[in-house]
Amino acid sequence: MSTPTHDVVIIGSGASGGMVAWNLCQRGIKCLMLDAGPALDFKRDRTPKKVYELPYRGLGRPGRFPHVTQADEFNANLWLDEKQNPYTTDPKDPFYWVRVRLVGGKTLIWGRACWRLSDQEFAGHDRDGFGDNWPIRYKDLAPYYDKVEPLFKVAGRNEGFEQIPDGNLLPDTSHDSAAVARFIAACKTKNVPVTKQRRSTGALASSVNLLLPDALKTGNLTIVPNAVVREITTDRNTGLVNGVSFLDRHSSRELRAKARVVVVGASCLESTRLLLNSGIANSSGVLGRYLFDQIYVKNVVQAIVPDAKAPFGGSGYIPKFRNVGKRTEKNFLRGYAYDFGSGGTPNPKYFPLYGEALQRKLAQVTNQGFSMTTMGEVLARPENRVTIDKDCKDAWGIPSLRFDCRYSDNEREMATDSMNTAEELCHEAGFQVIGKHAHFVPFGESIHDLGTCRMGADPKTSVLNGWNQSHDIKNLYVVDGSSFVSGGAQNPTLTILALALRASDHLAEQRW
Amino acid sequence: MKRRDLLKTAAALPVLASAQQNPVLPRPTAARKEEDPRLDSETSDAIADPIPSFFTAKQFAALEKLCDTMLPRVGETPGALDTRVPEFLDFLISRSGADQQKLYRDGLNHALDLAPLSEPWTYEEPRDPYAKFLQQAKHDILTAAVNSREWIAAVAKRNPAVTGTGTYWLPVE
Repeated sequence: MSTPTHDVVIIGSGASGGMVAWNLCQRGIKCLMLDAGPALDFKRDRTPKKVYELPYRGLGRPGRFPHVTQADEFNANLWLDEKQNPYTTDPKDPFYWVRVRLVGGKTLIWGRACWRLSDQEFAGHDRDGFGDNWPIRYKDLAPYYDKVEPLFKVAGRNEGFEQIPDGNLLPDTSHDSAAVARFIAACKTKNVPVTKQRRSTGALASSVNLLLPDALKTGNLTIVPNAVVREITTDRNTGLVNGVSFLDRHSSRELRAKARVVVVGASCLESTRLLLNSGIANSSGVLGRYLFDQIYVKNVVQAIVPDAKAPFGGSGYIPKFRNVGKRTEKNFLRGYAYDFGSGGTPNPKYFPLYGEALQRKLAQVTNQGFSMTTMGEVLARPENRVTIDKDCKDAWGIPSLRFDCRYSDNEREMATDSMNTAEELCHEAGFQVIGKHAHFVPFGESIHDLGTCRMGADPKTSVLNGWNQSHDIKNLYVVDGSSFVSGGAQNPTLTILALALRASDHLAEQRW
Repeated sequence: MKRRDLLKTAAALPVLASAQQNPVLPRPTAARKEEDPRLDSETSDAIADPIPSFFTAKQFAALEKLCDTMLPRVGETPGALDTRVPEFLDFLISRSGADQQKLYRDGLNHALDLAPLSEPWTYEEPRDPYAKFLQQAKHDILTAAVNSREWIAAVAKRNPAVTGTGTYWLPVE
């Protein structure tokens, strides 16, 4: 006896897969969700510990995560093991492929910033002639942003910025600390827009508490953890997809599930890897191409607020302000945003001191820290790409990716401009700059990897249509960040959620 | 029982007194709901001394000198030697990559001179390997000291919010 054909098989349980399950199951559609990793048991899997009880005093086991700078000794077990899951790059052009394989995916650890894209991104080509427009516009996605923001309890302030559309937000009425108020005044003097952070709130803001429980309640969702999908299978007669073959993570036992529709939300690069390994949905030849992320210049400026007064702390956001008018005004295309935060003690490395003098200095500057981080748009270029490396297989024998990607002068010019502007703003506020630089982190480290399975109006130059549906295979949807055409400087998760919700509405309205 | 409590109890008793007492045998009692046993325990660092093994005796002596210069004891706040940073770094570097091991060995073979740490900090990595070593050692020594039991206990006296506690994730099945 064989198992019945599932209505919809969803691969991945993070923001995009979770959002699709949340919508389809409540609409009465039966979904099977496969995730390559285990499900957390929050009671069993975590425990309070003292940092000095850890074997490496919080410094972590050397060499365990060569490409995951976010991993620390407390959370190390949440990140994907790089030895079991290798990939290849040109040694000159590293890519930091940061992955989480757990039910809930990266929504278990994300930074929670929730910014909408605008038509400055969706119609970016119309503005400056670079790249391609999206096949959709802001008005198409706005109703879905409106639904997703309350679901994720996004709090922030609406400011009426053209480049960051207002949201359906919980109001953030918190007061600004004295240092932040000074910085905001400096921004206003310099005509730089500034606002509060816009973040998903709550103790946990994840697919596992905000999306999957509602889907399970309907009785229409079946979640199967530890199912490592090897291939999406197709019917030779119709050309449609008809299921997936997967391996049990623990035993490597092979299984197969049949499906009427397959939804891929396995994370940007895992989704593309799966399609490439399945040999499907690539009549355009662009699958794997147009890889981009966002440049991050961490602590582009570190400053001291010399006469900081309590209450300390506080943070904010400067949305994109370069090239937001009608004409390109700088020696680079597109723009960047900043996160800024105040309070705390700056890293001791900034002070040319040691011994007792260093300890005195650190005591003196306690609570006086102020730092900014640049987040900049990376141009989507066809030559930045991933391909399958047949000689590099994971612990389940599945071929992994080879990365060929590098940044260009556009990103470097942008980073330099962001450093100089950050320093000007700090000086205007009367802060003392003790460190500045324009070195962005390696490609991929921001964990905002996007593109490689992009949507577009033309099936010759894109993989998906404007509904995240394969041009080639109508019963195949790819709903995560791989579908992006461009990404602006905004953290992408909110847009991934909105796209997945919109795609699943489309899916539910078709006859299968 | 914590080590200090144990020591206090031990000090209060005549040395042989505990040996003369017979262990208390359980008496038969009526069946009742039993709780899962939960035993207090202690970390090995609290009850034993680490045995450095990676650096040569000369290098280890240089590391001790460097640690004491980088982070001396100041009043109530323990320094790098009080928090056993040299022993810890001997262990950490023994488990690190070859580049890091060479950086440390060469750095410790160099005559101690902290002048490069008085140069203004920049993001550019220093060309001079010894200056690079000093920056790395500054980071490692401060982090290892600040995360030690002794340091956290000292800071907690001034600021009870400092506990050194974090949420540890166990391996997930």
